[in-house]
Amino acid sequence: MVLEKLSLEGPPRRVVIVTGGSRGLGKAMAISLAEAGAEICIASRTVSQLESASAEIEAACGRKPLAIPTNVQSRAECDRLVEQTVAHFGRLDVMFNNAGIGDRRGAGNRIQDLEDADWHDTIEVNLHSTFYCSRAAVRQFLKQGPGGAIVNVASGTALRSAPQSLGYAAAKAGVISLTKSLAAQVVGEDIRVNCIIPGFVAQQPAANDEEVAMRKQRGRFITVRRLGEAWELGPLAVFLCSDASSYITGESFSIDGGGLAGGIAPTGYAPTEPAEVRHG
Amino acid sequence: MVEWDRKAGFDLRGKRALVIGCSNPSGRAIALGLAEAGADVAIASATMDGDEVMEAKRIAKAATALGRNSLAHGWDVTLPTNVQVGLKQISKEFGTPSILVFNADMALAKPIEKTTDSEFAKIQAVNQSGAFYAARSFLKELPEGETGRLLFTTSVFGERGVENLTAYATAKAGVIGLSAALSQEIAARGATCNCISTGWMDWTPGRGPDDVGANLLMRFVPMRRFGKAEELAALAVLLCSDAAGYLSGQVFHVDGGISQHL
Repeated sequence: MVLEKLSLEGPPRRVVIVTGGSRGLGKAMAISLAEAGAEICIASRTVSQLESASAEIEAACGRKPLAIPTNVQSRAECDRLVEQTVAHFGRLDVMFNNAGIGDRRGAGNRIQDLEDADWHDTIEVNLHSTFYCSRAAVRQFLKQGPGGAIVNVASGTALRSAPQSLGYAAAKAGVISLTKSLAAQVVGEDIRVNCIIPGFVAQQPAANDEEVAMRKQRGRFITVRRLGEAWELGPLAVFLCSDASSYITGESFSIDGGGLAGGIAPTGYAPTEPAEVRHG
Repeated sequence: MVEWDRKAGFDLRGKRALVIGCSNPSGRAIALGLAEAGADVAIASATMDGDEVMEAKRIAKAATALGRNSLAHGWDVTLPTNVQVGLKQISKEFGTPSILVFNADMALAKPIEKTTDSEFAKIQAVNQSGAFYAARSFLKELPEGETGRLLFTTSVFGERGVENLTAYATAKAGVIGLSAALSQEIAARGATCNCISTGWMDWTPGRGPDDVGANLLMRFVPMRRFGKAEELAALAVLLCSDAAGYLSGQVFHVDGGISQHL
């Protein structure tokens, strides 16, 4: 039966590391993966968030995840993340590279004002981390024998102009490119590499009426007339981690409410006032 | 805090699906995948070719064996009236479907100067016009307020140039354009539309032997093998589920990685 392949229960139970798994999209995907039967290791910088996310994941599936405080900007910490996961669970099946941050300078990052450190920081957290964790994972996969999967998380901003986030968009475009090239490189070892490209997706339920109204307003600019919700990435994550996606590699899956297909900015960005025109 | 209404990703219980086209094995695999996930499945052939109509009947029987309601029709999707009347009939006999999978597939490999008018027209009619007629009739029947899911199967040949496939490539590229435009048009009513694009599959004409040493074509496929029909089913189930409401207007490749370097 086809749908049995979607299970991550094994045997052996699939072991998945989700970086940036302590909140937002990462946590939502980690919960879906845990529900599908995977053993989860979540990694993030903030210990308090790791603790609360662990409790949520355990509540969802009845198994306690491993939680490892990790700064994915550090090569050594990425290596250690894989080592400790393997020491705990005995193996690694999927590296889920979800950790990322927006530009440190946020909306104010005009190129003439951008410092080296702002740029480097953004590229390191979003792109270097994906390389470090993928390399550590592939080294482990090769020790275990054939098989393994890597799932990267990019962003719709990588596919269209993103004037508010130069570094972020460039780094995420790098993640998509890395997905394709790495997929072709490791396909002979039966390792699959794919990518999820979220458009505008809310990280958690709206906290109050004001936020509900704000999301409704943003949703008007998205093709399906609403923002995505973090849980909606879960089934796609499960699919890409499972054997059900056995003939798919190097592929990027946009989940953006139809925005990219229609030429609307995937973030739902639409100018509300005439753009400022600068001459000379 | 407004809690989210989280839906299961691979659950189609209570849904009715219509799968059109079973001349290749993906029709069977997708139809039975949907049935396995809980959907009742109606099957219509895309042509009145005897083998395809018989296959539609066999698939319906297999879906029934899985405990689902099912029925099979013989259609010619090149005739818009046939599609429209057929869909009305299915709605009456089986119930209005909220999932449409269009899997008609008629290939032609010929140099352009040897492709006749009628061959070109036939390839467009089955692969592309059929998709349009089916989507139109499906959306006409789809009740207001019902979550609609459209899924077209297409081919990497509609996106990358391969010699001697001009007619087929034109038609398959047309399906991708249809899907992208339709995804925008139907979004506000809660319906989505996507394509699954296949590379070289087990049944692709001219694919050659399974021995990678003897088959140059196979060496172009990063996975060094051709795809199996079963490898489409889970993705189809995901895209047809209620949980996939934010996935729309996309082309998803199931191709062993070939579209990443071709």
